[in-house]
Amino acid sequence: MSTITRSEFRPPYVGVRYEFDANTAETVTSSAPFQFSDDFVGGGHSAGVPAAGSPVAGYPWVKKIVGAAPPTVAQAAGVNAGGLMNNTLTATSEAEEASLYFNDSLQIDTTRIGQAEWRAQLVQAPTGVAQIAIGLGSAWVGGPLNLARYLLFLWNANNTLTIQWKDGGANTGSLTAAPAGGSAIATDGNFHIYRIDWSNPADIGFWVDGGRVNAAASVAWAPSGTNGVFQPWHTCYKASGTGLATLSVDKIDAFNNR
Amino acid sequence: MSDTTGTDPVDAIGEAIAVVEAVAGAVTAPAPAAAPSLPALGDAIHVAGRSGVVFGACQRDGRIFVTLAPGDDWLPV
Repeated sequence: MSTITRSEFRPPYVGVRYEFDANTAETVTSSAPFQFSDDFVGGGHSAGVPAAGSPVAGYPWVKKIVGAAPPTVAQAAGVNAGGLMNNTLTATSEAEEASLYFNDSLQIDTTRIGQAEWRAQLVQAPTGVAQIAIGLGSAWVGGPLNLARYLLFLWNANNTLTIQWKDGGANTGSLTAAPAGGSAIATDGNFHIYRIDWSNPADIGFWVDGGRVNAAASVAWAPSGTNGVFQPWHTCYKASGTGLATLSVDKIDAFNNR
Repeated sequence: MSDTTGTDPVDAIGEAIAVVEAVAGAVTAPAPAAAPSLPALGDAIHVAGRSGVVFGACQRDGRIFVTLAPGDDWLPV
């Protein structure tokens, strides 16, 4: 008989201790004083995501839809526990955006120890000039890399995973995601666990399925004041053309210290 | 009897201010330096004696760096 380690704790970082599933690397709980989690279940989601600028009491999300076709942001039934939130562009040749975020209510603080994590799937990897991004961003601007500040996993017109950062000050950059000693990651169409870790706020870690995909100290991060505070960003975007993109997010959780 | 000839001192001051403002307005502010752009991922590049493609690019404190392979150092451009 073998024993499978199902759950382990990561080391405490100044009072924040968190537990993860050892099989999938998915974070399952934390002891952080600030916590947000959404599995996209329940009537609030199935009733439809409110439009940007018109948030609904008790519901954190809004959607930004650009395009006449139109693109969509909507809940779908999950095949496993929980629901899905899908962002989808259409093939119509036009500028399009399908984004999900907190209506510019910035709450997640990357200057205080914590992390944000998504279980997400590229249903349709971006084609043409389309982009898909999940991560953290500042107030809405059309196009994920046009945001004033961000920490993002981003696919740029193909399934090659990149990481992107901009702290609103002296630091910005992009990096092809790759494990230590490995090669660039060509993301397949399955669900994966994407984690942005600021357990050391001066050394942002990007992780996929429990493996770090940026070298230690490769992301310089020194936001000043409230520049380090963000909202979640899930987006499919294209400035023009017929490109396609569909992102499916099964869950997000984020926490940080006070 | 008041003197109603010559230039009113108040008007003279106003005209002088107008001249100063006109001169100041004529001075063209220097255009801000264009922000350096980051090399795009995948672009061919020759940097620090090495040739390769851009695996990562970043800006730190106004300086541009690139890296050519996973885990490699950032090289100044």
